[in-house]
Amino acid sequence: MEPRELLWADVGVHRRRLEKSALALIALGRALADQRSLTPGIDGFLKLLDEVSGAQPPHFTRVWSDPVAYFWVRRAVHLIAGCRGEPLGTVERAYCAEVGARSPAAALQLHLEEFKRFALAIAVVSGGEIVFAEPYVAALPLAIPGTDVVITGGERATIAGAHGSDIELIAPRRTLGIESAAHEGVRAERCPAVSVGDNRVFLNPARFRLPGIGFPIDWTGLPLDFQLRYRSTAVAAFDAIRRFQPPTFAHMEEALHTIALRPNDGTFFNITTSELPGSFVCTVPSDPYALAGAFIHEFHHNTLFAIEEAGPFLEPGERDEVEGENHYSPWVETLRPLHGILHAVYVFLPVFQFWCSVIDERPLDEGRLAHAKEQVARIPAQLRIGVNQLRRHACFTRVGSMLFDEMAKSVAEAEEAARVMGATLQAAVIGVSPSGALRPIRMNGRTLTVAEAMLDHLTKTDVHGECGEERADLERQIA
Amino acid sequence: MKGQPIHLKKLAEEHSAEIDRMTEAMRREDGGTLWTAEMPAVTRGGKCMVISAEDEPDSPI
Repeated sequence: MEPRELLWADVGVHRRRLEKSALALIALGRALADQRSLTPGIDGFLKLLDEVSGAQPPHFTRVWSDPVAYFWVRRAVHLIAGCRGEPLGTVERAYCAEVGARSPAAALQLHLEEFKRFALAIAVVSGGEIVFAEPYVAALPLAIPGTDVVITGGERATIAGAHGSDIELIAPRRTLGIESAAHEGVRAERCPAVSVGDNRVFLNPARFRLPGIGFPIDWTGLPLDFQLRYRSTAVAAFDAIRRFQPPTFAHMEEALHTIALRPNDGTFFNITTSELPGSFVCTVPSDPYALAGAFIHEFHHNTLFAIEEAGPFLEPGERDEVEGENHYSPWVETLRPLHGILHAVYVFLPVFQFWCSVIDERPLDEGRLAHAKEQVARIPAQLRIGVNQLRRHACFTRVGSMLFDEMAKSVAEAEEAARVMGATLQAAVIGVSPSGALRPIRMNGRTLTVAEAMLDHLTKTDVHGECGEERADLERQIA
Repeated sequence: MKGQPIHLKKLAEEHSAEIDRMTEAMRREDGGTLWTAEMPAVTRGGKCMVISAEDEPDSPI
């Protein structure tokens, strides 16, 4: 496959990732069947695995397409390696700390217990029955994989099993009806969803409530009303993507599963993790077009992570290219790993195309037009710094080199497109107000320009002086 | 996700060599080679510049 097709057109990349996680589930069952003494609970897990594997293909596919399925099987694989003496990765170390496991074997035991959520989900989507030999003590809120159902309303629920949409609880014993309208105590709620073409995308923060996930999760306990309140903004954002960035919309229609909207609490803004394919988190309130830009950005992280399943892009070096925050990035306030900079270059290319298309819309709201002009001016300049940083510091694998060269070509095309459109770094910087409105940022009594903002960022953040050439260029533009 | 539903038995037949490789990887000391433990990554999107609430007194927030 040509690099350009692999980067931008290959919708099958998401399906291959799903199939890999299904193959890993089969292999996991076989490996654990031979190693039953590794940790307690393997017999019970294998029994449940039989139930899940025996589900009708449409039911299995629906449940196993859930982002959490990938998270679950990948953690299981790494924890088994940990049981055999391999060093634990970042996520597994955090996982052990958060669940209070003192060894990989103890963590694996707890993790195998969590497979019950998938057996429960199969019962819910198939209308079948599952009775757990030992009850499932689930931390709440619990998103039932592959569905819009969230069990909420307390710290924990002790689940004996399910019969279709009836979930059996114990202590106290009662039946939790998914269709009931209970508003208090432990209960089942349904998260909102939005249509992306033929695809139904869930707005479900509980999906992200996982130990070791790598970012704060307190916000995932917010009432689902919060998602409902901003659902219309999300709908308008997807509509903008459909109109102005159809290639991304086609990928989203194929592979986007769950998003979550969260308030800006100062901890982080928007986030995608490699461990939850088909999902991301974005902050609201936001202007729908700005949110569309964020959706495109976050979704393409998903796509690049899926492409990376075939092998790493960066050769291992003395400094940690994936997690070591060592290099200046024009997009964030801290130093970033080279891997993160490569991702940023990739995801901002379709965001640039989106804003170019938006500018052609007439009539366009004044705030949006100003924001679009800022983005069309700013993104190519940031992309150039990103490409320069990677050229200076990255050691690519063969595949990584091929894909980076293609991205660098696209960056040069973006620079040329911006020039033809008359974009300059004298464009005004547009900020987002607390209510999501787009307004120019004023500083010292006048409007801040992109060149000034970029130079200020470089001055404050390029602590190792990696971008002297780019800094001098910005200073020339301001003088 | 679009596409044909995954039939696990068929998938296992079609990819038996890959499953054997994965199973063997999980049985060995270096069972983590199926996925490189160092590869998980979180990407944090850059924050938009936020106008303070004082600049927008009528804001509902």
